[in-house]
Amino acid sequence: MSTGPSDYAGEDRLISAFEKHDEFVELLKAFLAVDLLEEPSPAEHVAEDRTLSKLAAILDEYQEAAYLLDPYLDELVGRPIESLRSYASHAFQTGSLGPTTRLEMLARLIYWYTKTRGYKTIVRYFPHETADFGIALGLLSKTLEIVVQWEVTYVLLLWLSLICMLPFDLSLFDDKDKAPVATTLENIGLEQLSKSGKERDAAAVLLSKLYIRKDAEGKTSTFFAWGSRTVKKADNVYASLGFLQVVSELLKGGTHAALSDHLSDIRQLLNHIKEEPTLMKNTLIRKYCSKISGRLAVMQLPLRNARKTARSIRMEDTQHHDEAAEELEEHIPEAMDEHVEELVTFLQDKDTIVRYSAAKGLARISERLPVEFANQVLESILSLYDLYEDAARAQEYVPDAEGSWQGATLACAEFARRGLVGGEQLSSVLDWTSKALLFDIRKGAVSVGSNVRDAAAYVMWASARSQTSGSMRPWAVPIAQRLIAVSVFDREITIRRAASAAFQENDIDFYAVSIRRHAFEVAAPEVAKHKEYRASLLSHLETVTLRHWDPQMRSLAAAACRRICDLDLSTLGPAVGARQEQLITHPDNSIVHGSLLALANIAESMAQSADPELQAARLQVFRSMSKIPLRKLQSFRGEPLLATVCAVLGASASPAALNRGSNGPPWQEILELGMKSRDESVQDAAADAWSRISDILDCEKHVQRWARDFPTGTPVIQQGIAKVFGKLKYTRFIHGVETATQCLSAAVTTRGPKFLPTIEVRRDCFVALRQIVCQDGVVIASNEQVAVFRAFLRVIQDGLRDYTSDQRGDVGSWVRLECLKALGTGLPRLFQHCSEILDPLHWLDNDELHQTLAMMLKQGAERLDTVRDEAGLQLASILSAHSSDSTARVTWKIDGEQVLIALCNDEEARTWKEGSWFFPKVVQLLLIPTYRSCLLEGLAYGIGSKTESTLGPAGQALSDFAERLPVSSSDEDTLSLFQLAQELLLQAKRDLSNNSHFIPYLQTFLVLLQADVLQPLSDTEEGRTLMQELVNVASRNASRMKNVQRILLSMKIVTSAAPIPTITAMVLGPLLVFLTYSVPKVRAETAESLYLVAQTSELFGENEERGEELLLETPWLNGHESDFNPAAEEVIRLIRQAAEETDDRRY
Amino acid sequence: MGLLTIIRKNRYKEKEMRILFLGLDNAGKTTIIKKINGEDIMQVSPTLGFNIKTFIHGKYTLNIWDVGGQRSLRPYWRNYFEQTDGLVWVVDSADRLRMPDCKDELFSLLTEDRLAGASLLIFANKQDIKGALSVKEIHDALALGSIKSHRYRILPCSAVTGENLVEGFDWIVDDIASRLYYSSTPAAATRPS
Repeated sequence: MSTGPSDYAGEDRLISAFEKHDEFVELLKAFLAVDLLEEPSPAEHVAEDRTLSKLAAILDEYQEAAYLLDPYLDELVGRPIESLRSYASHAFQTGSLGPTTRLEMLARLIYWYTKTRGYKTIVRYFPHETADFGIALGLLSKTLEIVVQWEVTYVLLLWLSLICMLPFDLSLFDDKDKAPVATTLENIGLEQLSKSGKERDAAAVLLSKLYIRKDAEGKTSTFFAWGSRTVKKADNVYASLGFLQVVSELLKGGTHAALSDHLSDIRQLLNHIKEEPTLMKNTLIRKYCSKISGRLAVMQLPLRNARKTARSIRMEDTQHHDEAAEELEEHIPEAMDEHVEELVTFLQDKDTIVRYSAAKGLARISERLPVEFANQVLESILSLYDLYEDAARAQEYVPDAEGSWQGATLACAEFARRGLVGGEQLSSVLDWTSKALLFDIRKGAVSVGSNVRDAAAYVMWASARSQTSGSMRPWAVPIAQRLIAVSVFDREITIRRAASAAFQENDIDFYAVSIRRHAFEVAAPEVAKHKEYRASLLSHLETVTLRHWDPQMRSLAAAACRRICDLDLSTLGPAVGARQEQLITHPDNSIVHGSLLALANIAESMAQSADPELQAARLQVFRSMSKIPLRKLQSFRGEPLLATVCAVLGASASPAALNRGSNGPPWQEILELGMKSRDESVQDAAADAWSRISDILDCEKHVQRWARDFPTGTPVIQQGIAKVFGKLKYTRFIHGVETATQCLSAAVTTRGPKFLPTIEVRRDCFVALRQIVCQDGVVIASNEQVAVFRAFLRVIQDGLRDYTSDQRGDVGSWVRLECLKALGTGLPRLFQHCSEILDPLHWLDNDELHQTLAMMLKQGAERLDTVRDEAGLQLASILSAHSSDSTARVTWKIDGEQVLIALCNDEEARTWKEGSWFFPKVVQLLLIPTYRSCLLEGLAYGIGSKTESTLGPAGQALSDFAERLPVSSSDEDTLSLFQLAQELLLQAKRDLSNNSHFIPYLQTFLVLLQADVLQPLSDTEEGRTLMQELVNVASRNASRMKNVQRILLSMKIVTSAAPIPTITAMVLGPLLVFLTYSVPKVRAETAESLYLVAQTSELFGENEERGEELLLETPWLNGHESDFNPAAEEVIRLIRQAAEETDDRRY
Repeated sequence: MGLLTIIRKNRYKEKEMRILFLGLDNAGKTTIIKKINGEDIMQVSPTLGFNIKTFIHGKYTLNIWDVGGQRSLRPYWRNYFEQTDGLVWVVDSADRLRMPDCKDELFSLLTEDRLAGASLLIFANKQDIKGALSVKEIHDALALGSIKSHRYRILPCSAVTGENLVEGFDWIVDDIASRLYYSSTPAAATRPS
């Protein structure tokens, strides 16, 4: 039973053909191509096992539509069974068993067929000639002597069960010296019947086939004796279950002479089992008890109507009952009451399978009972509903209510299917079923009752099929209405589908109801177009769904309600409004919430119309809010109510509403409450309401007040105010837009006096600024507001540098994301309106534009995928706005525009998220001086993220790019490796003491060094100077550093630079510091790093062996100074010596 | 388990029928089945045991159980009754001598609980043989007129020429189908998508 949200589409793909046939046959051929009598090599075993798994996986795909395999079963099942038979006959002839590995795999395949298609179908493909008897039995006996996988036993038992149907006396197969085969079979069967696994099922089939044989009649007595012994040993759960399985199989379909002597035995054993708690704990045992009880009862009843047995069901047949009723009455055994009572108890079991079995049993019994007796049975079933009616109505969770209701409903369905519901009972059944269709109770966080609703859909479906159209006619409309309501408004996807299946002349597409929102907002209004369903749908929404315990359901219901009212707003709108208004004083908050949601939605629709009556109704909605006491909105968990009241106020606000201050609700107070709520969704609702109101009233004095309160307010209040500032409409009234923007800007100006430390507030301020600046005709294109715009751009630049982090991580990214959005909306607007502006360059000059773009690129090169993605998207919209406005194109020239456009509009729609595609492209922009500095900064941040341990796409792209640069260049415009490194070093040095700034640069240099990219620098004088500076910067104050990450990075820069000729001498000093560092871990890592460097370089020259020995053997980690100091010094000496020799050779 | 499962299960159960072929030995049961399946009928030998044949007929999948008719096998027929939708009784129309025998066996089947409700088709086989009894004659010889418990039809046929075989299958399949629950409503339970 699904309890969680169940909105996913395409959960069961409907397969319409065995599409994988060819693939399957191919695999099967390979699987069967081996010799079963040979033991596979381990490799073969693995391969064959894999093939088997693939076969099984394909079969699994068809589990739900296994009949699609039917046309191919000959081909699919025939060959494996042939293999099995030839294996068995080989064992029979030689008298010995070969290796069983492959036999076991084969058996598993055959088992898989039975699992997919059902054993009854598969067993038909087994051979069943007389010779097969010995062959199959021989193999089974032999495999039972050793240990084999259970599938072998299972498959052989099934095979024997078919052979057992041979119409010959079994004694024909007996061997003189051995026990009779019938006895052997029985013994094996009984032994396997106690197994906990599937073998038990097959053994039960075998035994039932054995015992119905005429020549095995004597055996049934021993079987029942065995059964009696078994169930009396209470811990024998599986054997008892096996016994019940055989009995139930034997009772199937009618009388067997063989059983007639044992009916009372069965009854007694059942009674015994029912007293045994250890047995009755088992669900399957209860299921079989219920099944057997039903079958026992059926056997004792005469066939009432031949045509009604087997699978025929027709309502017309019931009329014959009456004629025959009287004469047959005396045939009804007294025990029948007992059976019915027993089954009615099972009908309330805690497990569905037991209830279902009882339901079928009751229906089958009633099929054979005279009409009035059958009616009595149905009466007692219906009385189960009464037991828990109150609970169901109150939607109150009572543990047994669900089981009883489902059991009763399933029984009704089974009765209906068999055409056993007639006359007056039809109306009771449909009455109860209609209620069951709405059985939805909350238990903690989960929903209970979907199986009751499903069963109810089953009744409807079955009734429609078995009843004559005449008897159903009075019910057709209400049932259709109810089913439709459930099929579009139920919480669970399966129920929506079941109801839609039950509604057979369906207008509702089975799939249209898959997605809840779609069902509510599209399918429901579609159905409501048909007038006959409209009122009932609305009433279902109003009486059921708007009151649902799940708030999400209420909110969907309100949306659906609006769509339906839209179909005839002038009638339905005021009517629903008036009804819902009645409910807003209800004590149950869920109901109030639902009605408020409905009112908000309807007022929204009414706002679209100028009809005076609708406007009057809308005003009434506004005024009705005065019925809600403020304290209710402030109470614990009152947030949803408060948010919804705000929504109602916004949707119903009008000049008339707002003017009558004294008469209406205290709307300002309510909205202020909303603004101050800790729940952001409430704040949003309040802000939305203000947005509506600001188009009606001048809110200047409020704006001034809020701006005054803002700097000293709590963060929550500040967020509330920021949200409102953003949502106000400044076109009709200007409301003091400058006050608002100044207030917001001040809060986000870094190092400003009013800068606010709370990141959420700053984020909301940026959102609000974007909303204000980008409102049509407010800032952009209004020549007086140029200062506001410029201030806006200034704070955005501040925001793009916000790298605040706390325990939640890089929370500054929230602000940066908002800033990117602000640019991506603001700049395009400026471009669109630039022809209306007096001096566009005064709003934004070319340098500022490029600076902005460069900063966006920087964001684009950073680590967080979401930020990169946003940067790409927003840059794309800026570029496209620029290129599509001719004035903008002339006014502003964008450097490298084509490259940028290519980066933003990839043909294959790859986004900036995709690092391996993006970074190699974006590094090319380093060639454009305008963007170089910022972009490099971004790349360094991207490379230097703490999590990146290996070379990521950013580092890879940068080193690939740098490798292809000329080492140095004479002109300014050509980028050289030296310039690149110089720029990086310059940026690094900007804030050496700030690790979060400096470490990324160290990391970047290390990436370049480890990729052997910086080495050529040592060939020039300026390059060597730069390297020297790098080493100095990296190892500055090395012995006093506190951050381990920084120490290790510095150390690695030094060790990586060590083997570069002409540089070595510069690093020896720092190297000694690291090798003798006070922190043992640093010493050890330095030695390890140096060792790795030595592996790929000439670090130690001729003394390689000694150098490596020192690095490996010295106790760097836990030795004493006297151990590692001399070693460190010797290492340094060896390196110096090697470097000097190299230098000598060079000169 | 839920309504959708029940519907799904029924969708293919309703397409399956179990048909039992019975009759005295040498009546031509196996030959009829082979003929309608397009198999070679020259190699048919007496059925010692039983055959199971599955094939598609129209919209339906038929599971045909064909059990040998020798006297010694007849007591075992009852093992095959379970869940039988249709019974095909094959008569050797030329075997005048054993008509009473044939009638007795048929009538003892008709009292079986587990065959109650099954449709009954009587194939008056071997019409191609000279001297074969006509349908009318067999009808009387077997006293078919006294059958009240089953819906039945008798058809003259020949397994050798194939005469009326398809017609016979059509009738029994249609008759079973008309009883079957779901096919009685025109609209399918769910609309395939």
